[in-house]
Amino acid sequence: MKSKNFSKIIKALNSKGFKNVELDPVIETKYIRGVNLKKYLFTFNDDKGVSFSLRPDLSLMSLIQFSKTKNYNKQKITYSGESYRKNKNIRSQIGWEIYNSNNQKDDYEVINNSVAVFKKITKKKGYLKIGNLELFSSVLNQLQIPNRWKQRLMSNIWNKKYFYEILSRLETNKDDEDEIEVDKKLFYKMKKLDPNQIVAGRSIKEILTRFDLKINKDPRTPEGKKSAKIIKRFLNIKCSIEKAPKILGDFFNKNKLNIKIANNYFPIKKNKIKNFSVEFCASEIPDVQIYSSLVFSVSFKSKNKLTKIINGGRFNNLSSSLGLRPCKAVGAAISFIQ
Amino acid sequence: MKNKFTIILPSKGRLRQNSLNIFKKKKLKILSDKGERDLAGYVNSKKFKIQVIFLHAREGIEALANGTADICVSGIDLLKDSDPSIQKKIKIYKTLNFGHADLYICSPIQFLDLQSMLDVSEIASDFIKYKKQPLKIGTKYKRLVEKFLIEKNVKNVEIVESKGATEAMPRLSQASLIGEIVSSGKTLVANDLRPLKKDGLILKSSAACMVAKKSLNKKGIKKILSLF
Repeated sequence: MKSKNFSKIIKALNSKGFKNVELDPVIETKYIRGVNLKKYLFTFNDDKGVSFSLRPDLSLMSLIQFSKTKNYNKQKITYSGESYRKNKNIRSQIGWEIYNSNNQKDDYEVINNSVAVFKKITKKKGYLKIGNLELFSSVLNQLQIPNRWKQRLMSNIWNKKYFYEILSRLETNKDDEDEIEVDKKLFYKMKKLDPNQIVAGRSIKEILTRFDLKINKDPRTPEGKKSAKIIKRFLNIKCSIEKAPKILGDFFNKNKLNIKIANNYFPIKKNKIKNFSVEFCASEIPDVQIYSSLVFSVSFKSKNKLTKIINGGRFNNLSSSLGLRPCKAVGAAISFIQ
Repeated sequence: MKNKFTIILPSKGRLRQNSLNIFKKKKLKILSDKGERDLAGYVNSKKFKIQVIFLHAREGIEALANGTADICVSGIDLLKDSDPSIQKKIKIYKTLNFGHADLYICSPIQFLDLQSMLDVSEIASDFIKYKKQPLKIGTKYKRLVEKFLIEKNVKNVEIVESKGATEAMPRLSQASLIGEIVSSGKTLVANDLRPLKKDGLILKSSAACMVAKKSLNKKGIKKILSLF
């Protein structure tokens, strides 16, 4: 991206009320949880042994900085600068976020600004893809599979390769059963031991309780194969945004999933954006584990392939999951490699 | 003048014996002035001057990287666990048919509820939630284990570096799980441990002949490598 575009974008965001913030270049490593960020960190320890990293992502930095303030009012901010990861050259990012945001109008505003930013840098046709993680979670919740499997799928959706590996295990029903049979004998033996006895940091009681949960209270059902099929079909749903409520409704009815299509799944209901294709895409899930519901991306076509340049979404739970004060937020960022 | 080469062989155990067998098969005798306990020897060859040094398998890799040796026999597991700056200076010339071992995540047999890495992930979350501390995993292979855990999306863990008998760590509550080399599996069984066969395999390893990339330009290196 040319530096002229860089300043044009920031100016445009400022004119929409987004205030510039400066971000720290280093972050405590404990705040970085995502697999795809963790792999590529530049880290170092201070003299007290605390691990720090060069910031691998500006959006995360900005949320951490904001969550540490005592600002409880809605705040529109923009940031820009470099992020550092071992696998790539220096990536520059510009982001626009709304903090302490409760409202679907903010989702719309962030998407709208993403379209405006895209238009500032290219005249090419844009492709806006919108997905929703809450919708995926609702699908999982309706399936006849153990809760731990629902959690496993939900927490690994970001890592596509591993997600499909887990899904195939669910499909083949071959995960735990063989070993569990052998372990049952030991289970009865261990039941006679002192429940407070510690084995390698875990009490006999906690081991037996979890084992009991797996085999008796929340066991595998024969529904695994069917459920895996439903999940795969759901993730294949891709259609224009206007048709999405109907197509999703039909899918849920056909598969006997009791899911109501809430309004907030679609911050844009009709495509009124010139030279833009707006699609609902159930598999529109980025590879960083930060979002909680809305997820979207803006791409352009180059050599018949879509290239994503803007990613965004709502991240209502991120700050609390990092041990900071809860802060509902929605935002997006454009990044480019120098 | 003859070109001089330094070869590092493992100093102990089966790796040493199997490495020596390679020389035996080629009818090359490793000579030493001070007898069998000498850590340095040489091979009498008309064409080359070959110095043989016996070191710990991990040290052999370091010697290749810092330019003090040309060739070494060591484990692929040790190479892959070494610092990336070391790895980039070394080429695996040939994998050898001995020293087979697999690096696994292993758990105490009493952990009945733990069959896969998905369970490890859930138990680690429980550790943070209820005990306010990460799940500890002991290993001599910090880099490989760390990378593996990231790939399997296992958070809330702490790697505890082991210097020796890793298998004893769970018994001493120094770690709940271990990342350790498994060959016959007998040591694990003796210590009430089992590998997570389903998806806990980190690396399949064997011994290999490794060469310093810098030495590849040395005249005669190909002949020496052909010994292996």
